[in-house]
Amino acid sequence: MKLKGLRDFLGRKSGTKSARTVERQDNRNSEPASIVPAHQTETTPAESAQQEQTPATDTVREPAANVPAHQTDTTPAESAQQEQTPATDTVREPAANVPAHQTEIAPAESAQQEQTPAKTVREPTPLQQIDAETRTEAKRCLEQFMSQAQGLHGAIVSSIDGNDLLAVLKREMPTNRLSGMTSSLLALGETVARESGQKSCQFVIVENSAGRVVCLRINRTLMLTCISSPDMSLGMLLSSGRQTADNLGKVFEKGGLQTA
Amino acid sequence: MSVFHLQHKDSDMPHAEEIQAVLRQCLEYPGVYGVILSTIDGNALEQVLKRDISADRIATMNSSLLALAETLTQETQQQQNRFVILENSDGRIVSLRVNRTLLMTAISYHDSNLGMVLKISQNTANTLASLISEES
Repeated sequence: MKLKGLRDFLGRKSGTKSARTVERQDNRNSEPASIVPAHQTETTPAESAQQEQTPATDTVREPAANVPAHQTDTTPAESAQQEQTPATDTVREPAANVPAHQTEIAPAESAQQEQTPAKTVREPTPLQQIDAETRTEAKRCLEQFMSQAQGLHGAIVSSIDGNDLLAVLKREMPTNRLSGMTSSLLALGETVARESGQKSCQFVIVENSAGRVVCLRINRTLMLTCISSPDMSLGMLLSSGRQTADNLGKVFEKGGLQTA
Repeated sequence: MSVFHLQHKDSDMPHAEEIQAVLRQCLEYPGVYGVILSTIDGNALEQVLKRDISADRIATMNSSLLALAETLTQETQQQQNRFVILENSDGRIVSLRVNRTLLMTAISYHDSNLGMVLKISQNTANTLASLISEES
């Protein structure tokens, strides 16, 4: 009984003490925490229990132990910002660490950078070499071909890599698509001719139920595509097509187009 | 799917002898020196050749050629593709469809008559189409 009474007495005494420390702790929290660092503060059992319950937040705050308490006591949003900031700092750091002499571009280097795009512009493609006069003459040649043969729907001059250059059409057709496809067709035809031991390919003829498409080379870089109705004789189409291709070749050669 | 189907059937292709006979009949015309039957995805199935030619390569390239020509036909609004003719300095190569999955290629000399080659090729393709139904 005596012992129990002593224990009760001691228990009450410690309870008042702990209450006081809590009050102090509260006061400390209200005070600017920069005066007392967080790791020096005495914690009550209740507080330590709270800390144990929230290990994740503690582990997050631990690295900032040397930082004054007012910086460690942050809202979740702030802590999220803090977590994000190192990433941005690391991004910015290299730029800040780069010495001034490295960021400055040497005059010779800057001159090279300026010259590089200009170089690509200056190099003319075979089609860019064709001047307006040659173009007009070639168009006249195509129009003459169209007027000679009655059954023709259209004629297209294009590069062997599939870019259309000139077109004279009686009805609307997608010349850019046709140029792309006929260039592939001619390339394939030439390969098949070589594989089958028949030397060079002269024409690729696509015989359809409502007309024909004939593809032939003008020179090393250009090709001609003739689109005709089924009424037109194939022999006539091939003959006049070949003649027009030869004429166009002469016109482009005269205009200074490099075919080699 | 169609490739596997046709390759599987290739080993025990029905009417194989009859197909060979039809192709040989096509070769009887003096101007033609090679006939290849292949799938539209480029696998050679049967061939009858008088010269040493790589039928596999030609079949592969002709399948692309025919597919491209059919697209060109659609783009130019010329309804249906019938033939693709390669006019070369030493001969001609005529490609045409047999049915939905097969195509035929006829290779001829330069002195052959184009009209005759086209007619014989079309007749052979029709005979082959009647022999090979799409199910087989």
